[in-house]
Amino acid sequence: MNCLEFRRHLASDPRTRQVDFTAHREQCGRCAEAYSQALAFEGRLGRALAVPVPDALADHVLLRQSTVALRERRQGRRATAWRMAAVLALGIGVGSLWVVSAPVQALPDLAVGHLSHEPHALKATATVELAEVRAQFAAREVGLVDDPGRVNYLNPCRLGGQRALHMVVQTVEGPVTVYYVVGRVESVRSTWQRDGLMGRSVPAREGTLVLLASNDRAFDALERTWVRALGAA
Amino acid sequence: MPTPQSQFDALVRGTSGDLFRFAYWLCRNDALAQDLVQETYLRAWRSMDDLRDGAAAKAWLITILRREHARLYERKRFETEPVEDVVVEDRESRTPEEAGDDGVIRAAIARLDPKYRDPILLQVLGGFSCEEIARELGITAAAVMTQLFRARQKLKAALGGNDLGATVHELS
Repeated sequence: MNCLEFRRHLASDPRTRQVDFTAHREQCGRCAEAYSQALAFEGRLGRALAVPVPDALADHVLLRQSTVALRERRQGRRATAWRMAAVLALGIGVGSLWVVSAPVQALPDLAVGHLSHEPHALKATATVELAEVRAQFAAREVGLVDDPGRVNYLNPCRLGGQRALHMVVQTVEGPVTVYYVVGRVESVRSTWQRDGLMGRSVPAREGTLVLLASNDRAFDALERTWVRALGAA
Repeated sequence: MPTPQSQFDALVRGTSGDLFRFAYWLCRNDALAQDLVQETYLRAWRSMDDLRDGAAAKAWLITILRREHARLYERKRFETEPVEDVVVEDRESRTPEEAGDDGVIRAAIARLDPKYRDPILLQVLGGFSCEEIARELGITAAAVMTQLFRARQKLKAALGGNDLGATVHELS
């Protein structure tokens, strides 16, 4: 580094620790003197820039920061609670809307559609114990007040979201599927046809009795028996 | 292990003086400088995770402060004291001569164009190297050297050769 470079550097960065800058200063008397003068000026510049700092500035900063941090934590918690409430409300709203707007499937469709879920049921010939039949009804909070007659198949299931009992009764006219759907009470008794099958819906106490077979010849007798058994006569 | 709050406390206590001085010379308004410092530390607190190197904390804070200052001026033009009226109360005891020289230099600093003032503030108050100033200002290190050189020339010229320390080192 020569004197010109040294002076240029001195005027822009006097506190530099560059090795060649230091080396030149140590071997050049005039530049060493200029360096001393520059440092004196730097001291005055530093003092001039050092304007007085307001009393307790750091305390004020920390007080404001802690206040804001506390407020933001509270707002954050509140916002989280609001978000959760909004999500919950939305969920309830959408759920309600779905329940309200979901089409209620006709019981005949449900009854016929369910047959394919238990295809082996129509072939059942064993007799289900009366105690077991009573117990299954009792489990659905329905008491049988009379003997419903022979039952060859019994399985708890669901029809359209409703709890139901799926039964099969072997008659001289062939097997008849009997459902008792708890909690869904049809407004009127009706006989209907679906997919080549005959059916009958009979409101009985807190549910509906459904009979389903290839013909309806055994329906009247079964209806009387079951309506009596259910105490809905 | 220190908590984030205790780290922040130490940061504020260690840097708020220099940060205030830097803010003051940016806006030359005591109240506004305090507001800038408050806003700077609030932003810093919210982004403490960004500060990986404690040694770089002061530079990081000054960067935030400069952005805050620029943002303030984007929104509103603040009243600042006329350069001729820059009178800074000296709380430390100084000789009348020293106090008088400081006043002259302060007035000269206040008159500096920001392109000369900012590099010298970053260097003297911030402790930035030329390369760091270049990165902060988005210019080359050579340009920073030139601006620092000219800033010192102007400040020394303002002292008008009162003494040897004010002599401008001519590079003829």
